[in-house]
Amino acid sequence: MAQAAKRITREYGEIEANPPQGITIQSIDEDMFKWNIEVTGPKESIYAGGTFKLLLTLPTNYPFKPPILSFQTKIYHPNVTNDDKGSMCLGILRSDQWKPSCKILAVLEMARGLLMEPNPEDAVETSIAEQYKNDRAAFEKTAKAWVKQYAK
Amino acid sequence: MQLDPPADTATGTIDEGLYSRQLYVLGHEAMKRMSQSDVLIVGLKGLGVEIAKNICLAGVKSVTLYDPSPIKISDLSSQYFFQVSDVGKQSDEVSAPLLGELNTYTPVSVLHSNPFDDVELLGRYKAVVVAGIPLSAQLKVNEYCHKNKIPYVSAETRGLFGNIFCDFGEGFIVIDPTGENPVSGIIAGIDSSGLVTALDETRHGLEDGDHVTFSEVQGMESLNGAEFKVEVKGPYTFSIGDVSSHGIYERGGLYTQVKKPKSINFKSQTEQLKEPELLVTDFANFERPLQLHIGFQALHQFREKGGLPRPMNEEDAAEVFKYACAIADALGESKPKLDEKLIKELAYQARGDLAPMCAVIGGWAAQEVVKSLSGKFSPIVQHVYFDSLESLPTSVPRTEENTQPLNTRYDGQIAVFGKDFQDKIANIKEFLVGAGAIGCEMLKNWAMIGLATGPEGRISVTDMDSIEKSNLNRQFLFRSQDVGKLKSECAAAAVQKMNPDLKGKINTLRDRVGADTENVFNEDFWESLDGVTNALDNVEARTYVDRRCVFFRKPLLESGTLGTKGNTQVVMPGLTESYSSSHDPPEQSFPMCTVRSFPNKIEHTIAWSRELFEQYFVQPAENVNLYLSQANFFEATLKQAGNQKQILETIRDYLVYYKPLTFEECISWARTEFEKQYNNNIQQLLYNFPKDSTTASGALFWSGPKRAPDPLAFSLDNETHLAFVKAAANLHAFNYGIKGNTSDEIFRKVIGDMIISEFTPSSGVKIQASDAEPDPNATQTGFDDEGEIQRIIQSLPAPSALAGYRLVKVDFEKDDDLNHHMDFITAASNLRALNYGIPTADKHTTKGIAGKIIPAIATTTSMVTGLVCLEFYKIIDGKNKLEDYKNGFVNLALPFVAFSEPIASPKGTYQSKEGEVTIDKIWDRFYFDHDATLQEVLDVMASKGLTCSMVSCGVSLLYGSFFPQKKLKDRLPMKLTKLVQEISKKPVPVHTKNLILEICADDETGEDVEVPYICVRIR
Repeated sequence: MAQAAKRITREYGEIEANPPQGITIQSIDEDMFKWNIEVTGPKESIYAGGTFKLLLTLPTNYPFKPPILSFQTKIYHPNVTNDDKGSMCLGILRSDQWKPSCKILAVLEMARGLLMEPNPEDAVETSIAEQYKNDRAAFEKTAKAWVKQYAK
Repeated sequence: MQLDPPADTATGTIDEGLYSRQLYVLGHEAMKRMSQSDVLIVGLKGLGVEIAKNICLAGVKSVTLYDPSPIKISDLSSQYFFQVSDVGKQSDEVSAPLLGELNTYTPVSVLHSNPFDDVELLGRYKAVVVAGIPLSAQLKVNEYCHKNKIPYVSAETRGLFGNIFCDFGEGFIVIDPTGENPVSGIIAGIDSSGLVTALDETRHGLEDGDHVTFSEVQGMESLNGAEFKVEVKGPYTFSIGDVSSHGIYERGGLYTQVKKPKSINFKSQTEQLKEPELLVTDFANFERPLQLHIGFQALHQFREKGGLPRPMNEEDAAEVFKYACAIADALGESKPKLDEKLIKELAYQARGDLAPMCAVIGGWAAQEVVKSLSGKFSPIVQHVYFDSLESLPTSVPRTEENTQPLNTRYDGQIAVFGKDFQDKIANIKEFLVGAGAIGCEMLKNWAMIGLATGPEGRISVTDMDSIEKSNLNRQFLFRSQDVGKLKSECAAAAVQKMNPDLKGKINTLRDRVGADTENVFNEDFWESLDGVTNALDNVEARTYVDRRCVFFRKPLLESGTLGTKGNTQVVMPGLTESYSSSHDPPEQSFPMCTVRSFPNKIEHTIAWSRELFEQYFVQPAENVNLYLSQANFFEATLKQAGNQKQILETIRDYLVYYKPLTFEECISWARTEFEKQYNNNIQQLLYNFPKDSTTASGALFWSGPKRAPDPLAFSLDNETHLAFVKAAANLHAFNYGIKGNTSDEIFRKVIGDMIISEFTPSSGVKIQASDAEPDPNATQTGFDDEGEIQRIIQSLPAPSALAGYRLVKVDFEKDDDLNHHMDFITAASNLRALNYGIPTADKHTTKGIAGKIIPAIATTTSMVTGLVCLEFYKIIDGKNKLEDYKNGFVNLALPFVAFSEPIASPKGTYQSKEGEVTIDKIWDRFYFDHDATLQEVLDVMASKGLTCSMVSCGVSLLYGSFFPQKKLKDRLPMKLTKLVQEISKKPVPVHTKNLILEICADDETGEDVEVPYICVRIR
């Protein structure tokens, strides 16, 4: 854990020194293994105007295992489970693709990138993915309605 | 003696409750063969009893003992079933009843005729073991066994030396040489030259000479089902030779390794004495096995003339060496240059008898017997010699005088180490963490070597668990009447009986060792110890104990087993790296989306079905009961939850729509769920992603690791279909306190009468499973969740209307065969496997995976624990050089045993104001002797040339150089205790005397350096 703590604080310092756009991290002083994050919907995306609360949980053997990222705010998105967990599992968040050289910043940027452009091929919600591919208008309508409902 | 076979062996079935963990090592077939085998064991001193114990636990048809020799007091050094009061009695007669208690399926009896006089007596056994008997007698027994193809194992220990010899006869068939599961994987491509590439750079895991077969290959269809020999080309590619005649590869395909039996021609012991085949365990000492092969023969020659050489006696040792030279000369060309010191050492210790050596050799030899009976795993071909000379003490004298017998039970050990070292062993204060498989073996060895029996000595042992039936198969201190009792207490009582000197010396605890029990295992506790021995089964606890040992600078002995594999590690303060320096592979977990929609292995479908079990039988009942019992449910629970609507719907479904009044209604619920999971959801998924759909890049969507599913059509005549409905209906009934039923009749009747509506998948639609449920789509328009939630709430029956009514939650228990849990998980997983064309798994395999069962067998545990104790001697001696210690790696299936020096603790340097400072990254630390302020800490570190950029304590971040000024102004003057309390929002417990601060720091050159932690004494 000591190793994880050093690595996490170092990454936190880097992010604080150079905060990424559209991503706010609340103080991690109390528990550096649980990051409360707010991500704003990118301007050009259907999630524009929304603010999404995310929870990033770091394993005690970080960076040997990937962090777990979940949406605390409900979101209509093919890559986020439509349940009370709001889980994501794609790209470097997957244990088989994560490498110890990956960083938290990359995870956060990937999450925000997915708001710009969902990845239906790696969907967890296959019905939403299907709609995204075949009936974009209906998808956008629902997604926007959810932003209004949950993310304002 | 004739015994009625217990019911289980008569019908040829295996008691899975008892043998559960071992079945995952050996398999049903191997164990069935064992259960039909009678075994004879000759020689019942410490080594013989260890072999017998392990064979009894493993389970054979019967064990017969032969050793009429009278018990001597020195036998008690390693024979844990002998008491002082048994001295003078017959060894086999005293051992038999105690060995007989170990396993009700393995009766133990005594052979009353002498098998050396009448070798024909051996003819009725499936295996013969001789332990510690004269060579001439060994050769006589082996001659008969070899001729009659009766597997023969001979074993012997002399002090810190031991050996095993195996002769399973000519043409012995090894059915499974490694015990590993066949390797399999997904194919990315096959070219005409026969080069096969595995998908996505996954290692294929095959070796040269392995055989593979193929399935589901498109193009080159004729490869499917055919078998090929493999030539490995790289980690991701292998060749199967020219396949140009098989057409052109298109796509898809799986490869699976085909395991081949192996035949071995064993030679007789007489032949092997002249031309020995020797297995090497110490790769730094290739010469040694042959030296010992000669040395042991010399010892036997000496023994024939009236007893073994006297301890540390120069005259006897010289004579043994003389014999050895003659034996070496007879070898002719392969004659080695004899190591006089080594051979004499063998003579010095020949009368020695050490329990840890008996455990190492006895555990291994018993595994060889299991191999001979079952054909499972590769046997030793044919000799192995082992020694642990590094365990000899150097801190105290070892002379002819102080190695003389003192007429005590420790005489066998005193003969090797001397009386002075015995006193050291007796006054150790050791903490044993865990009283399970390794714990029991450890305590047995400790009792025999007299650990902690002196005035200063003390053993503390803790284990939170109670004894379960499946433990009895290898935790040999426990009997069936102990099931339910506390492990630590039961084990302590058992070894105090073995060695009454331990009475009053064992402190038994029942607490898990962890952060939450630091009030029990407080700083005084740790500081009072000489050392710690782990006997744990999980990485988390091991890591915790390791951290504490590093903090308190206590030596740690660490070990673990997995089936036939095992390892041991020594952690010495200031010398070696610690347990946490290396990483055990993390527990396997699967990406959620793989489990949810794209399974390709049975492990994925099992993970899915385990989740389904929770969703059906655990979570709804919990939510319903909260709703019914919590007065402020909506405020206290619901508002906190992420998905209120989903929870409310579940409560409504389980209180209204699904709520059965009769068992028949449970059946129709289960049948409906079958339709939903295995037909409708699959149809919907195929609607969303048709089989011919492509990705943005034009590739087929369903390809590679994504296997396209097919919906199942329910049939009453399909066993798996019915098994799912039966288990689900019974568990649903359990939820509602309705009596279950498993008769086919009622299921056929209810299901036959049901009308299942056709399912039509459509876009953006949730799946409606039956007419009995509300149409989820009817209320899906708009996103007026608030209104929707209110509507659901109103549809719920008021808790007051159901006063006292509760659902019964199902608590998952894998080991109860009648509770339907594993039946459900097996059926649910297999149905999904059928959806996806994945090979199904039986209940036993499913249970192993779903229950995360760690395969285990007594033989490995016995051996690994013995190895740990051989290292323990070194710690007690206070050895302080890396090369004195050994970490062990064992896989008895191959068999492979090897050792390496522990890795030195990592060192680092930083530039201080006074120049370069070298630090030990594990064992060094900075000290503060009082509750300093944060500023003080930063200043003191700065004076050493270290500029802190970060300070943390546990999970709390106390200081960051990037913190805003205001935050710094608040924090810098605060005392650390207060600061930690404020930030962590938790009080510092009263039993905590030290705070540990982790820091990130730059040295004088501005270089980011790795530095030890800071220890702050606060009380």
